[in-house]
Amino acid sequence: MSRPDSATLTLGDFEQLVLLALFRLGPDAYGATIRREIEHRTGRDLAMSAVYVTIDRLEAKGLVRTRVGEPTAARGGRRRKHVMLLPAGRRAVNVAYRRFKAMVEGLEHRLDHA
Amino acid sequence: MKDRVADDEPPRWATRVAGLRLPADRREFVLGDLDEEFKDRSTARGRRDATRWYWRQAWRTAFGRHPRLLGPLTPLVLPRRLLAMPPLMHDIRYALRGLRRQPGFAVAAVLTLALGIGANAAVFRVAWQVILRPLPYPKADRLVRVWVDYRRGGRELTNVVAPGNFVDWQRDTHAFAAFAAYNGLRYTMDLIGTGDPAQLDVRTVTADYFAVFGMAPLVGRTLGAADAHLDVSPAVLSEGLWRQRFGGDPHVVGRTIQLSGDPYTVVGVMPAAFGVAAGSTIDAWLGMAILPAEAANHGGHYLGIVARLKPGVTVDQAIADVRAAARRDSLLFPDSNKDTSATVVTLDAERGGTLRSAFVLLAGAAGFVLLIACANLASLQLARGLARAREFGIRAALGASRTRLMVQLLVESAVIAALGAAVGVALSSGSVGVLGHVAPQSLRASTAAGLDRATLACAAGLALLSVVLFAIAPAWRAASGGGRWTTQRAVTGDRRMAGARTVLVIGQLALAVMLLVSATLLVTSLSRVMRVDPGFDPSGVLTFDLSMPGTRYPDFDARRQLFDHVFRELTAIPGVTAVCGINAIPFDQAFNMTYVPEGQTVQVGAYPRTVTPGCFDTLRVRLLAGRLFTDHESTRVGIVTARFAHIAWGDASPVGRRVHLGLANGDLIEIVGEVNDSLQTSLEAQAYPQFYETASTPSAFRPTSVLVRTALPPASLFSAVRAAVRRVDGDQTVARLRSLDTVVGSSVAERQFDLGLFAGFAIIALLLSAVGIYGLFAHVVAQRRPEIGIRMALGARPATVVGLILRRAWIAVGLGLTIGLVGAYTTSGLLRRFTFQLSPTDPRVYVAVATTLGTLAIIAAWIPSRRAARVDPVAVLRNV
Repeated sequence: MSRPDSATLTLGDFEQLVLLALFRLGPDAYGATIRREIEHRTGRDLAMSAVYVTIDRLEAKGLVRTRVGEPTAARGGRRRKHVMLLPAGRRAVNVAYRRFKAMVEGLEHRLDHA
Repeated sequence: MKDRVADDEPPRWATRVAGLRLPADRREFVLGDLDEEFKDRSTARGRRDATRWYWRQAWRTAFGRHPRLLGPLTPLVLPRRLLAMPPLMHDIRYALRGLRRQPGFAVAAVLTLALGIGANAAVFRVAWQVILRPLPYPKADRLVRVWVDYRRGGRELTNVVAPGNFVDWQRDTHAFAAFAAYNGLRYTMDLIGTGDPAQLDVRTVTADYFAVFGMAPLVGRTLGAADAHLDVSPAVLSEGLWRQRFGGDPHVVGRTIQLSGDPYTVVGVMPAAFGVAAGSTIDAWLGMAILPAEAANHGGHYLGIVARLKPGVTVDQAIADVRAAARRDSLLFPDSNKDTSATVVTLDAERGGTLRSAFVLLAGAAGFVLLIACANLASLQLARGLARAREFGIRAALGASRTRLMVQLLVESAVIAALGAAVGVALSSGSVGVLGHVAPQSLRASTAAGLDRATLACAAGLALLSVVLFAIAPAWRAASGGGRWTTQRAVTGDRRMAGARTVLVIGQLALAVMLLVSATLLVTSLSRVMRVDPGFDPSGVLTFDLSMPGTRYPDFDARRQLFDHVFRELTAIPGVTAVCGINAIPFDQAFNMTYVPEGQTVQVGAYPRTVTPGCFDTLRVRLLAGRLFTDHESTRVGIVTARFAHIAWGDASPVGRRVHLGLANGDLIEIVGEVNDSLQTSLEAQAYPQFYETASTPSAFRPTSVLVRTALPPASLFSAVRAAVRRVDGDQTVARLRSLDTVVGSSVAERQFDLGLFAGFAIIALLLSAVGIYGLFAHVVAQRRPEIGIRMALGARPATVVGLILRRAWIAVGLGLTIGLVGAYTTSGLLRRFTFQLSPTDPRVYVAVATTLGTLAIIAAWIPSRRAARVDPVAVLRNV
């Protein structure tokens, strides 16, 4: 599978949210924390399964990597799936952020009061 | 959704729901995350919040944001989605507009449903009043009645209680907080001095009576133990009497009133609700003391007993308690109490009496009517959905979701149901009012006009239920099939649809058969009951009661003189052929006395009748042996009925023998004649022995009722009879003036009432089924027009084409009848206690119903089928 060029790669709205959450969470990132982070910051009520659908997609695009942890009692003896941001993912968020910022420049005042 | 799980575990069922559609490789992690977050949430915001959150997550994991699995129920369980839709009012307005555009459909649908809901509301309303509504007394579940209980011929029977037993049981039992008796015989007194003289229904009660019920008086106080020492006896009035006679004056307390010549002080007024179990026809309650002489009477049963259980005492314990007391009495008084025991029944369980089982039957019948009505509506909706396929197709194409269309169709059905319920409630009020005329006394109050909230709630519930029954499936079909139907040019029609409607018609027919079989059994039974010969001739006889207050007619001679004068005046009325006096008229009141033939130990129970000589003529009772009474008997003489004679002396003649009145030490009376048996309580009972005594000499019971035989219709003489009595004594009341036919007829009133409702339901069922069949075949013919046209173009004759359609009708009708007959046969046991001299499985009834209904059904199918013969092949082929 050829590595896609991060400059031309387009991210979906929800994919951006998940990547940004990974940025923030660092090594603590997994399904529950990602879901809660997005809900907490955006007020969007998310289904857990939706987070996993997106993580699978991001992993297929080569932006994140997942690692299965140890089972814990707090999860009813189930294992965790940790998610880590890959450099490509970091770049992709950066590109998306810069594009967004470029478009927003000079509009901040109007957007904040819209 | 309560799941029993260890604390802080997510609801198990929700976990299962969440797992439904999770891919195996993701399942562990998603569930683990949900579990973890659930626990955090539970600690932070409480278990309730966490549980709600978890369920929402589970739901969305399984069904996503566009749940399909629940299909038609979706809008009901996901209010969030409903909120996202245009307001409900919009749909309601749209539905009303649609119904206005199709008034034929609207009227048919609303009326069909109105019949179904109305039938149920009518039954519920009466049942609510008679058995379901909570009794108006505090802690009413503690109230009981106590009966004497004995076995005769293998049957368990109950009876009112003898005063001796009452006194003993009151003293010897411990299960009751209050234990009271009232005189179970009808007892009337004249109210004189306040307006016109009036005859009051009076109940005499022992001191504890009001304490048993525990209801507060409207004004003043009730009766109590202290009243025994008052100079003037106290009286408690009913609210009805108080309002009617005393204008609702609160200062009535303390007033002295004259009842049959004796003074009574009014001490209080009881609210109307008190009468529910304490006598709804009673005008006044008076104190009753059981005198020592009566306390020794263990054989004459005339007291009703009401009691309140002590807290914590169960009915079974109370039964054991009175049975122990009754056993002591049966040892102490073997003469009269040898085989008697006692039992306790809660007031609540006893309410409605024999009507209880009738209500079960009626509720079943009404339920059938609603099912049939819903089947018709479902069928109509299916057909209508087909007709509106284009509308739905277009709206679906324009982006209306299936859920959206479903919701709108359901709102439309709900509007129909609401209108149907409103009309149904109105219909039921009307019909119950009409039935009020034939209602037995016990039901009169319940058929009064006016609505109660319970009935309205019942109608609303039924409306909701019927939406579920008739609307959901057709709406689901119509909303999901929209796109297909517009693009499909049907030549053969939607056969699956016709199939579904045929199943509905078969079900309808089966239900109608069951109802008709039951109704026929009831009608036949009633007509057989009415044809029973009671052993006397009630037609052309009128009857009334004379009051004869003790102060003005103190002794035998004075009363006899009054009778003589009244008889003379009555005989002078043109048309009157015979007149007599009697202590209790047939079918009105019956109480039992014990007689012992001289030299025997056998006790004969019989109804005592004290009569003037003319009664045998007036009632057309025939003499079998010996002689009748004469005007001037010098000693107490008696006449017995054939049944009495048979029990006492077998086949030997009773004439010349003597009988002890009461027990073996009672007065001896010589028998001078034997007359034929006659029924005294019910046309459905066996003849019970009677003992006639002459009124020419003083006897235990004195005549108070008058019987008049006329050659004219009895009702035409009512005013002449009143005038005749007034000429003799202006203060004399003429109470309960009516024809004897009415009296006998009221014994079948309950039967007539049940039947009136039941037959009404059966007829509605019949009509609705016929309409359903007609509708189906009209639809089938319309659907198959193209096919029929082609067949006719190819040479099929009209008769063949009609036969083609009718073949389907034969099969449907045959199936419906068969299922219905089998159903009726298997459930016929329920009717056993309502049939009279008729087996509930009498094959003639089944054949008659099958023939009638089958013929009607085929006619209903044949009428629209004829249209098939008139199909013009040319017109059809042009359109294909």
